[in-house]
Amino acid sequence: MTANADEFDDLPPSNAVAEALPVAPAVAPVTAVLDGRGARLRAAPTAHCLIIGLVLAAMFMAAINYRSNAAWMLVFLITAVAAVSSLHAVRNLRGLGALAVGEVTGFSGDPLRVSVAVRNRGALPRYALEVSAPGFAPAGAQAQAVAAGDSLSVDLAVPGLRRGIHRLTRLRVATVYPLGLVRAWLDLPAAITLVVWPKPIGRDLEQLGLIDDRSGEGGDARAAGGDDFQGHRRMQTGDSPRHIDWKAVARSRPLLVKDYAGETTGTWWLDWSATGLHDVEAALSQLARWVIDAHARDARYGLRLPGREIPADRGQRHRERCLLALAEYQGRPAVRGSGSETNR
Amino acid sequence: MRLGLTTLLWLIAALTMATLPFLAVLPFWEVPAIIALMAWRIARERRAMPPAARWLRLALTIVLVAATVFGSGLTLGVESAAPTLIILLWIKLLEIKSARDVLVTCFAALFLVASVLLTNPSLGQTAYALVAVLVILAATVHFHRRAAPVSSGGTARWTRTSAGRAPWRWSLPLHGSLQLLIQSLPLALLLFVLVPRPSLNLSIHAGQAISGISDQLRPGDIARLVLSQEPAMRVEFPNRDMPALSDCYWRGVVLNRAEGDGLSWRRHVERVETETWPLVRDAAAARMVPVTYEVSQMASQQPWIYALETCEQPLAKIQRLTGLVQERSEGLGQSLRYTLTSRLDHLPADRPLDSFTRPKVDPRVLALARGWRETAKAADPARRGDHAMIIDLGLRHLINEGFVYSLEPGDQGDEPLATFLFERKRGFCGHYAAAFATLLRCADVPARVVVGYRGGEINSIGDFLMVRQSHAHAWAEAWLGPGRGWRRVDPTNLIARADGVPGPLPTTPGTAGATAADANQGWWDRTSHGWRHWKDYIDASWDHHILGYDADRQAALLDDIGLAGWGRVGLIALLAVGGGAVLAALALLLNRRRHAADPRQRLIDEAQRLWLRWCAAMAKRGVKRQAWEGPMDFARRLEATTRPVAGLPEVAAIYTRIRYGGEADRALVGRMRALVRQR
Repeated sequence: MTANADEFDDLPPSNAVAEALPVAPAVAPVTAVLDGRGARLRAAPTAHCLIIGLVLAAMFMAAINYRSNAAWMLVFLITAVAAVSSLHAVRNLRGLGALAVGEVTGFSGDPLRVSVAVRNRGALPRYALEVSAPGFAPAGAQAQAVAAGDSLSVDLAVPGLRRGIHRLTRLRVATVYPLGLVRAWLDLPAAITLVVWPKPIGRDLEQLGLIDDRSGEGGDARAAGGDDFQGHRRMQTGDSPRHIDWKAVARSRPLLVKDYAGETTGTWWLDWSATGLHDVEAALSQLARWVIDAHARDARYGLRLPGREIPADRGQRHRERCLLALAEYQGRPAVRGSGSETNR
Repeated sequence: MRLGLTTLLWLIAALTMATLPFLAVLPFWEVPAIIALMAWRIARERRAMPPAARWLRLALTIVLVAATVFGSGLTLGVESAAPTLIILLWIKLLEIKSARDVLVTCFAALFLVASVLLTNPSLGQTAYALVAVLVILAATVHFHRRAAPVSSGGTARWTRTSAGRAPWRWSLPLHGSLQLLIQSLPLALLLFVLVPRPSLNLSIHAGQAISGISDQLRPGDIARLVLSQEPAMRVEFPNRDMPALSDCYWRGVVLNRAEGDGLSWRRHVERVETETWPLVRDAAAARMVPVTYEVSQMASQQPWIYALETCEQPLAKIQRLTGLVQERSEGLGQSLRYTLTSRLDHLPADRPLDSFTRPKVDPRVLALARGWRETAKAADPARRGDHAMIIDLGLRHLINEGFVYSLEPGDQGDEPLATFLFERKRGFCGHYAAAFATLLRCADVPARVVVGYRGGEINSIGDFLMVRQSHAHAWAEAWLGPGRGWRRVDPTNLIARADGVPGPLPTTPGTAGATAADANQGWWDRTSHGWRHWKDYIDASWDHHILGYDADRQAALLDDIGLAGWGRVGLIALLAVGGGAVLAALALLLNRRRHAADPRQRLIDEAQRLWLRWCAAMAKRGVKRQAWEGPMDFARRLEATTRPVAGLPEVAAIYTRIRYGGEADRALVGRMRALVRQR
């Protein structure tokens, strides 16, 4: 039966670091549309205004010089167009709402990709929208348009952040439409949590050497072979897709996971004191490295931080809980308190 | 930055609009060069090639700009800088890298368009400029719209096409820019009316105004003018007392020096300091009331001020010269407007200066003139040759000798006067006026030549008189003596009549031949004549209301609305208040609630409005919907409360079906409306 499991093992090799490092654009599902109503629309002239100001001033002086009322009229017309274009810029943003709720995770130093959507609830198409997150992500290179009643999906590239929990509360939509002379912007409420895990660096898990070894076996039970297959159980979030019984799925049965006896035998205790590092960030980085390694081995592991302990478990959900604990560690009992662990 | 072909084409359209008015002043090679640059750029864009190499662009810039500057000369005027600016703009098209490049190109195009209006502010040119601004703005708008919306389908709606693909029409940016322009008109008008006109005067330029009458009279000069239909000036008679056209002599320049053998005349200027012109009552004329009239002179490079003969009082702050003429010393190349009063029953009475000096003429000419003098002396020895009699004899000679009016008198050789008088006997007003003045001088009668216009064209639509270059005319003036003044002698008038041409005098004494043709003009001529009147009328209104709007009229406007004496402060205050009001009104207009074009969406929108109304009503009764509560959740919670609300489950259910279930139909919305209204 193990062979069956391996048949579907077409995922990348279980090199721990290689699997962990690629940016995982884990976007939490959007749960609500935050309303843009009441958000203040602001507008300011752009640098291009200065250029057309100079051109208009030159035209104005020439018109005086030639006493040409017709040229003068054109100067006034262009001035009026510039003024009216600011109203159009503001209108271009009115009634926009943001869909920007959720949580994005990533390692410190790696860019995060935050997917948001801007919804156009108006009856007119909107043009040249630049979506950015003040303090986090600059606007993309090309402004985009969105049809009436449609949504504009934008991937914000948040450059490498420091470890910790960051909250993105404002999404800025700006536009220079229609003439590039006036920039209008609108800050829409957003509720995106950016969980930045410590950068996983440090020694290999093997060097940890701290194994609560009940069966006397190493962490990687499956590699040892043998018929340790114990039976099926219902799949839970966080189970490795490699353990899903795909053949059962093909027979239209619910998603079942093959349970291996050998895996449960060893437990790694990833202990703060075991890192031997005095620098908080370095210690957290080492722990992060171990979490990823342990998860890649599909091992049971627990995490011990000063003032906090996460009981041993395995799976994707456990991995993220551990990484979250590392992300929000502040040198004392975590801000979220122990209650949040069970909530998550 | 990739522009995209459509954006590039819009930019090219914008630049073309800005270039077209300058076609006439561009060096001959510049148009092919521009077309080549354009084609090259389009080809590169189509093949998605990167911008041309830097050295190539640099070399092109240097070569083309140097060629333009050498071709047109480097001067300060806007007109002479235009070819250089134009070629620079087209080269700029090759290397557009950023949004700033695009905008700067468009702004420079706007500048070019406006600069045309400096020297040619006509209605037609202004209309063209408006269209050009429309196209340039459309290019700018299109640049900001170039990212076509990505539609996810479903509820997305563009105009009226099926959802999914955003329709792309080339004219969309034009809608945008037209909307912008139209919405800007009220504010632009306000600015035009209220921005205080500064009194700066920095004239450094020389425009391309019409040349008109010069300060010299050579045979042939006037013949060229006579063929031109260009307007010279427009005259309005506020009291509606326009004299007969044949009496309308518009005095412009007085020439008092004969040149060569006497068929050419030129001006010898002397300034005079006088408040009023010396006039004397013309005994021969019937008594007339002074005529007041308003003249709008078209832009001209000449300083002459034209006045109906004989003008009573010179304009203030204008240079007065001998011969009752005035000229301006500044503002050449610009149109001019002034009001004068003339007495047609009076004659100029200024002292003759060098009007006795006689040119070196052919002996035959001298003999002819001397003969008239002797005859006059013999007839009236007491007065040693009355001037009036000599004039009479001269005119009679012209009639008797069979002189003919002709615009093509032919070459007159080395001795033009003698050839004209004794051989050809053909000529036009210039010949007759110059020859007659010379003859009079030979007969010891002080004489001079006056050049100006005669008559005009009555525009019945606008009730004004249009004087064109074709009305240019020259006549002679002879000194009758102290107390009798200068008498106007217009030999051409006699010749034309002697020729037997019955034509209506009014129009052009110059084109007596043409008047014959006028008599039997066809429908086309009459129609085009009518059109021309309309055009003159529209041009006149444009000149009067728009081009003639100045500081005085601004003051008058303030007077009218009761802010007299506020001056600039009043104008600026009005501008602030009015501009704010206009912008506020526009903001309201732009942000009004819009109904969706799609009827389905309209129903959904209405359902949403009804639902919000319902929720507001519920909130008043103390049950507030939470932000996170969907309609069904809210309904469930309400039902669970102690005060269940009748109809709520149904309203919520209908709303859910319409909004989320895709069941937007009229009946459901109607039912929902009824339920909500019951409340």
